[in-house]
Amino acid sequence: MRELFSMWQNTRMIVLTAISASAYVAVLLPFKGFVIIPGLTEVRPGAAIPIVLSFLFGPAAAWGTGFGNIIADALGGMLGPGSFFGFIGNFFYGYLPYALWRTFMGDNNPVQSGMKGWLLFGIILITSCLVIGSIIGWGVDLLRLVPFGALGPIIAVNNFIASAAISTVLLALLYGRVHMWGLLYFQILGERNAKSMPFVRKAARIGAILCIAGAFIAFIAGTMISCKSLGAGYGTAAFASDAKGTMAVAGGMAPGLLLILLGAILL
Amino acid sequence: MSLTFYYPSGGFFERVHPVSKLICLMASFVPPFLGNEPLEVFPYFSFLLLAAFFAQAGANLRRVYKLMIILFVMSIVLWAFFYRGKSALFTVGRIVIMKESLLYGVTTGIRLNCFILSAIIFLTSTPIEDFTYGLSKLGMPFAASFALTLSFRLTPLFMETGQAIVMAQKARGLDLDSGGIIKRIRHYVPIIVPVLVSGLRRADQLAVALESRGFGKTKKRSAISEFPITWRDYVLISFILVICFVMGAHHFS
Repeated sequence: MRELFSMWQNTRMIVLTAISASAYVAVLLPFKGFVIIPGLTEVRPGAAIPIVLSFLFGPAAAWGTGFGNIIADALGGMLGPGSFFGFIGNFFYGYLPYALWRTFMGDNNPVQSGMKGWLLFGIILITSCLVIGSIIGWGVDLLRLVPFGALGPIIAVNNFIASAAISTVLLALLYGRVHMWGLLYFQILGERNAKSMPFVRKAARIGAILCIAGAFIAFIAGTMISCKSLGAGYGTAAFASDAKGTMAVAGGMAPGLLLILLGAILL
Repeated sequence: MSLTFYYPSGGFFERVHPVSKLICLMASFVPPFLGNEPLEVFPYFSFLLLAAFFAQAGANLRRVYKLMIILFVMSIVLWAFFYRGKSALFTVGRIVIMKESLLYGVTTGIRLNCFILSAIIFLTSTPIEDFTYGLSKLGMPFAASFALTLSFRLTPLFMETGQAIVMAQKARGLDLDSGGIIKRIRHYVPIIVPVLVSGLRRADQLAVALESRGFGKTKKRSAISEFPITWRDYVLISFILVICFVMGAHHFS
């Protein structure tokens, strides 16, 4: 996680943050892929951009995706308390793909890594989409604005469809070119030195497993509590003060979200 | 049509210090949470609507009114399913609509529209530079606020590039509206790749241009525009605090 802060010393990474944010907004806002329910849910091809940018620009993509969400809210007139959770959720959506990949596969090209690579890529896609859905859904449910049971799954599923459909194609077309230009994050930030230390590598693997487990726990708990399939007792057990209201969702999801946070710190 | 909502009117809100505007924007999100019923939130919504016209945000409201209506309707529909009530109001097929759910949906719909109005007032009276200036004065590191400003500046360029590429690809026969969900998304690959590549071409040039001007060398930076704190700042902050206090007192009493 250290590179998320040290990258601000590097001018190229700062520029790539801005480029990531602008590219995300420029593709996300105008291009509507498939409208399912007008005004509520549509699958946009732009949702795949953070995954692709994350593999290319690493920490710059994480910040860029977060900033991109703020810009999209500002340009759409939707700047509000939910924008904070939008920033956090999108930040993780841009952070996890490269961080999880690097933990298990090092600096290998994601589109030329064989079956093991494809399997990991699939897990990363699912985890990232569950995490963004969980964080944003949890935040707006906590504010009692939109129920998690509606928003969380919509965000996760829509992002997954868009990412699964085109992220591999985009990566195959862009990775080699960006590598040739010397703009991949590990080319700019230098070779990974701290990650070569055994205990750091082990901690990162534990972090990755915590993130993946946390994503599933938070998402499933949130959906089930919100849709009233799981008794409010789970929410109460998980520190919720008012298990009858939306605090049940907030409390029920808290352990999963804490695992994600802890895992992200270790990555 | 401009991409941003900023409208240089020279009015009251525009002349308020960016930091005060950001503080007021954040404070303006509090009162909607202090009302539990439509009638408790609606007066604040009406007040914001008046403030929006005072801020000459009428044209911007016309840009977002459809979104406001959709959010209001969707809020009622969603909370009808997810909020538990006790007194049945009517049934739609097998679904029983509860009075409490309906009221909660209406309250949340008004609440969401209050946020949009606050944001519109802020965005109408605040250029992007002032927004990021305010953020940096509130403690955001310079590099991050610079990246945010640069992103705002580059977004219209990227969008323009995107539109040009769409037209060029359509002229070559690309059909964006046919096929199922996956096929339709895959049609965007020939658009997204050139948009990203054109952006990356700019990245290296931008970094060199910035470094050649000594970017990041000095820790203490000067700003091209300085904003004085005037009576307007005190009036606006006091006003929003009074609203928070009054609604808070009513809420907790």
